[in-house]
Amino acid sequence: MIRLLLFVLICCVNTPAMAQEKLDYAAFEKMPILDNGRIKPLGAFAKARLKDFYGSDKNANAWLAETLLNPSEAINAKIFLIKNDALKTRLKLSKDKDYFNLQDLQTGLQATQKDIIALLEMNQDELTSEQKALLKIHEDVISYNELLRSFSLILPIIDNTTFIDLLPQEQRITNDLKSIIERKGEDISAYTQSEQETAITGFNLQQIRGGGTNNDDFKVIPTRLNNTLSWIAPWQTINDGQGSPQTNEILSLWSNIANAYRSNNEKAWNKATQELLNKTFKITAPEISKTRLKVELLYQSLKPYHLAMAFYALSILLLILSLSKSSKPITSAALFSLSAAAIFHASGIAARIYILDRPPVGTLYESVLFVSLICAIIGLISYIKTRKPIIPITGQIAALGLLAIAPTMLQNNDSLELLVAVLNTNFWLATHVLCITAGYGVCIITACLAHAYMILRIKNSTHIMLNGLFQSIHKIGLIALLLTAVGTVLGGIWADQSWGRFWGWDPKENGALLIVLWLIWIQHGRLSGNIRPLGYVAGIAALNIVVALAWFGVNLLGVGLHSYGFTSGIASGLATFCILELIIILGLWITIRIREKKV
Amino acid sequence: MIARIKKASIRLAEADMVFWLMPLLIILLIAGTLAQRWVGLFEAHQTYFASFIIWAGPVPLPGGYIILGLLTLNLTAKFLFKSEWSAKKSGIILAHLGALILLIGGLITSMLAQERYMVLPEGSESPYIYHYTKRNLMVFEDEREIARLPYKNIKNWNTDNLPFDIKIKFACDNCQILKREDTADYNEDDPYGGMAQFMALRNKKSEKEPEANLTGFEFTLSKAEGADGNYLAFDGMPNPIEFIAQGKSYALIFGKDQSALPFSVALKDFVKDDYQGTSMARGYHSDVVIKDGDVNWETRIEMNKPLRYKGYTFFQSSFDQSEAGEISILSVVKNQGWLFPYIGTIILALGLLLHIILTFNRGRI
Repeated sequence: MIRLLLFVLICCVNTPAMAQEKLDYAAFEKMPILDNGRIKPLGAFAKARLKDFYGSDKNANAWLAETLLNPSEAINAKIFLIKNDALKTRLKLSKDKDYFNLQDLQTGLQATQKDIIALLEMNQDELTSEQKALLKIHEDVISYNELLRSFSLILPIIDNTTFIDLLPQEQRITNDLKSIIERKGEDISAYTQSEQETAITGFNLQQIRGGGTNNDDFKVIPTRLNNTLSWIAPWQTINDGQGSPQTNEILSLWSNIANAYRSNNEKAWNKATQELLNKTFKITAPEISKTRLKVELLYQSLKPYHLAMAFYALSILLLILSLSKSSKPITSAALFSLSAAAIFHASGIAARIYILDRPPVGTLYESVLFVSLICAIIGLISYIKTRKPIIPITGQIAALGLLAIAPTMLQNNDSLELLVAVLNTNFWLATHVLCITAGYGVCIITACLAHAYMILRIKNSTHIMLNGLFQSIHKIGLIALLLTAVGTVLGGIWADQSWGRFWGWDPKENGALLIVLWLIWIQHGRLSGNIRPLGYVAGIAALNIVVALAWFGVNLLGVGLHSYGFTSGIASGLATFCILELIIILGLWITIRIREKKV
Repeated sequence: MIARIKKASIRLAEADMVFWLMPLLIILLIAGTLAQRWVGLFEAHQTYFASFIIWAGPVPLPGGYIILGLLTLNLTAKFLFKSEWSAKKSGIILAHLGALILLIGGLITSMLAQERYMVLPEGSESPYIYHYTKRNLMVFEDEREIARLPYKNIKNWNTDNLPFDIKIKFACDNCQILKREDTADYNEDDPYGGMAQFMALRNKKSEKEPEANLTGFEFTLSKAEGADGNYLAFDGMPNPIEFIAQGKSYALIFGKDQSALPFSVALKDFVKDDYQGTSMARGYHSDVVIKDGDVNWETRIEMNKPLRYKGYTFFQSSFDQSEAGEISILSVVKNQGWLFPYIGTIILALGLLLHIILTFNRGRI
């Protein structure tokens, strides 16, 4: 109990301090921003950034508002998560804590500045986890510093005057300050009061100007020039001379928002955020779709895959229950649960198609989402048609397992990624990629069924049941062959269109071909009588390994033209999976052989 | 005799041929894929897939050509002698035909396809295309090409027909360039000519992809009037080596094997189109004009949208942006077998689909 209390206490302490959690962020989070090449709602930007720094995206809107609009307070928040003990030692941080603020990090970061330059010149794949963590914390701090100063030009410096207000006098104040220093030196105590005021204002202006240099990350201001819409960060209106009456208007609306936030005036906040939102949409229509931004926010907050996973788990339980005791309520509940899971899962993928305006699979993460859905849908269709639980159970287990590993495939915290140029073709993404990933899905469900067949054979299930299952495996295996074979050659045709050769023995191509060859091999072995039915089923079960190697394994080689699919850190997981699968399949096969010999 | 051939053919047509050959192909595929991590795609391709025999130490193993050749024979024999020409088997027959067409297409491509590239600065026009890996020393006599000496045979170059002598000092598949005075064997009094006065070449580990190598060599030139001495030449050398011999002017240029298209290509504009606010490319394209006699054909080549003209296909493959301007690099492929995969794929897909429909309708295997 005491431990639990302690845990809760620690969690509370670690939540970043946020002043205005109670404000309504509905309009604020809908504001469009250009980030990583894509227009997204501010709410999604906030979540991705906070998750980057803090490891969680709770109260992201309030955190972002505080960071942007009240930076002098926000700076104290312990928002940097560091788990690597070696790095904590290097940065002279306490090992008992995981969360730190800028001040905690300052000394350590200054001391490691030189290492960073050396690390950046190294091959990034060869860095140790501590080196990677060090690089990340430096990058995070730079990015956080930039965020903190995004609006420094419109926030009050002294007596509600802002940098922008003082901008016309900046040159004069700087000159005055210079002449004061020339006359009286740098000791401020020797200055008159008015000289001291000039010195402080001048120093502040210099500081703020410095923080605004190259501050172009927070591209939230739309400008339309010659009917071309572009997005700039607040400081770019001054630094790059991109200011215009239109951007001034937007900046003054942001200024209202800042004032409302700092005075914690709920009514003014609501009015100001809504006003800015309306103005922004007025400038950006028709290019920017309000609905798309809303769908993205909904997609982020609803977490459709979590819901789908819950329903997959429920349906697996219900289906297993129906194995021993089949009754109408159980089968109906199972059907409902299966359908609900598939609907949530499919809506998540549909939302991604709508938001990104492209077919659903372009990254490794998306391929896992899609393959998982294929497994679930085959299970669902089979259940609707036959009401037999074996195929849906295996299908849902595969779907659940894949959804669970999907987040490990993410390259960064925004899963809605842009694609490199060669992938930027809706036709091939919709044909080759969907065909081959659907093929992976069908292979996985066939392989899982083959496992089920072997287990049932050990459990002495009836001949009729086993025979029925064998036929299902064979038929679904044929679909797997169709999809993988056609998907592979379609990939060849895409390669012919973009690189000028149909087949280049590139690792990813070879991986896809490996699945096809494996399927052809066991099919022909069965036909020629060289592989007996049990061996055939074991061969199908091993498809899981072949697919895993083709899908993820070839990426680990780090060579070839398909370098856009690379991901690190899955090697050990993959190896464990393959070895375990091999042991399971061999174990099942040997057990069946020994038992049936005895009989 | 005929009976014997027929018997052998029928044996070749058996399904168990696939059963025995396929594991070999699978092992070859895995080995050839893993090898790429260490030796690069080009060498792995040459050793495993584009070879008849692979030597595992003293043991000869069948290479890609033998295994794929046997599979092609097996498929052909099966198609001709073992096909059950019935509606029930129509899907199977079509699927095998599709696979056969793919294999034959692969064979034709591997024998006939030629892959070159062309380098076009913006505003330029050129008919010239270059081999990715093959390099030559070209000899010009009064601005007319009279000889082309392949780098591959550099040790046996025959210059008997030429009025001057070239003696190779050393060659490097991948060279690094050093300052001449920094080299150990530098002798002030030696006669160095051309770039060899300031530069020296030394051997360096080859790149994984041979096209990225900087190939070059150093040589001694003699019987050239007043120009005898030590020279060097390397890929993309900026200036030719020029001299006079027996009253005629000669020029030597070393570089990737060059040939000319029967027409020329002019680059009007190259564009790298980035996602807004980033330097990540959304696409690349080259606006070109094909100039062929009276034809001036304006068109665009972009990622995933090649241009096909007179049997040549042009792909947007690379680019270079510098202060001097933008350069577009196109790969140029001539492949008589390019249609086979398209036809094979359609037939294969239809066949497998038909077979699945028939199998599902039959209700049993």
